[in-house]
Amino acid sequence: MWLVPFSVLALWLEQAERNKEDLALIERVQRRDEHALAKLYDRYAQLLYTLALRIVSTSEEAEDVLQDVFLQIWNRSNTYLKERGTVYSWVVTLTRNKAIDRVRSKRYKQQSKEVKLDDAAYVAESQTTNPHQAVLLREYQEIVTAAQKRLSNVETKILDLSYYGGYSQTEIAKMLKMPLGTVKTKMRQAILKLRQVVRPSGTER
Amino acid sequence: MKSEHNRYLGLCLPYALGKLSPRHRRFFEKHLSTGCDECNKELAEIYEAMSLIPLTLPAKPVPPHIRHKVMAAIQTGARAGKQVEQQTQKLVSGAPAVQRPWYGYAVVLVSVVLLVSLALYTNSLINRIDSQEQLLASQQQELIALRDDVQKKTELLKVLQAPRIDMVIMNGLEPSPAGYGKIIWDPEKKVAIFQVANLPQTPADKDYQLWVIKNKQPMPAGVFSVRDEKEKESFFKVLALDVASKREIDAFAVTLEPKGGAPQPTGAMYLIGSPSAN
Repeated sequence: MWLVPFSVLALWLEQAERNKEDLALIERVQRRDEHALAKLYDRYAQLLYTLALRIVSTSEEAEDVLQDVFLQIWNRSNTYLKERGTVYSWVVTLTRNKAIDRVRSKRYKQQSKEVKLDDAAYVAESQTTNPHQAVLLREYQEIVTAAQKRLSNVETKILDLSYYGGYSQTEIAKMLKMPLGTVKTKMRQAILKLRQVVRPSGTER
Repeated sequence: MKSEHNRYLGLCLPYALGKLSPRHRRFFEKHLSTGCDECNKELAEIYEAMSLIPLTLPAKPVPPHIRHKVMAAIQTGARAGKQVEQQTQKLVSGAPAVQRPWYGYAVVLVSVVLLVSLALYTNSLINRIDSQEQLLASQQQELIALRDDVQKKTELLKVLQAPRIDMVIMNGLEPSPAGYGKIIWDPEKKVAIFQVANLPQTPADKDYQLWVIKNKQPMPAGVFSVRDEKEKESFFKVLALDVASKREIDAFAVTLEPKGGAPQPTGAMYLIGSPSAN
């Protein structure tokens, strides 16, 4: 039997409450309520800007990404589907995809540039978190950081190249000189470990 | 039926990462639109798990002017929309509180038409940009696939250009008698290409694994999978073939193993070929 630590359970409950509030905000955005969009901005802008900056590397581009994301939330909030996850995961996915699209188009413009693993832009950043940062969900960060520490170095590298670099598993296999099957397995294992933060392993299908 | 559905589940992760080819993406989205609970749930959990990744990044302060820019942009849009609404309402009600000259109505009418046209034009521009972005993304995917193909063919050519090459034919066994394999090998550089054809599609939780059997000991030489019809005939670079003569090798074999491969063969054997039989 799988027992959920009480502290984790409390955070999940808090998270569920936050999800409800987010859902109410997005419904208000759908009714063109500017205050609701401002509230969503205040909740998530710092996290989304940090994520965009991690992917695109320059602050100008990260600013553009953040602006595009919130305009998309305002103009196309009806594309959010409740059954595909929370509002939080939707806005994070929007930001990641917009930033990756920029990086990809830039990468194709500079085709001659070989990306090396030790290239500063693609090296995994320190896994430490700043305890004073005003990012929402910071209590959750400790648990996520603990989950990420359970990933092996290779799993972390593969996850970084895929999530922040936007590389395909075939490209990663070539970069790391690994069989494609191994990259796919390690990627899956890394996601499974993170999923245990979202859902305890005892409830796996 | 179950294995067919496992195939859809296997597409959830590459879909969430934006890594499906346009054809596979359409195929998968068609399936999602049927309302498949299991796939939607799987996808939601993958999105949730991935959205935790940025939480560990050291937070960066957002320049304050971005909030202002975002809010100004939406307010401009919202004001234009409200004006259109108000003007339209006035025109529809047809009962202005104050008597206005006829040209006043003309100006209002022209403004409304202009605003509506502007809104429609902006919308069509947004749609065009969206479709161009989608086209670009799909072309990029195709380019990556073509590069892969060229890379594989370059490897094959390198081996075929060697002054001396050895070849070992592999035949299909009971699970797939029509299966066929060929190891083409440059003994001087110790590199080899493995060509494979007619193997059944790999289940989502499995991979095929190639083995070099030397002194009766199997050594892993790479994993591969057959995901669709296109891959029914393909070739792969053999890793870890550190032998200079085919006399050192007892046989090559392919087995079906858990995803990512196994240190020793555990599953059914699909292909076998011995240098002495060639």
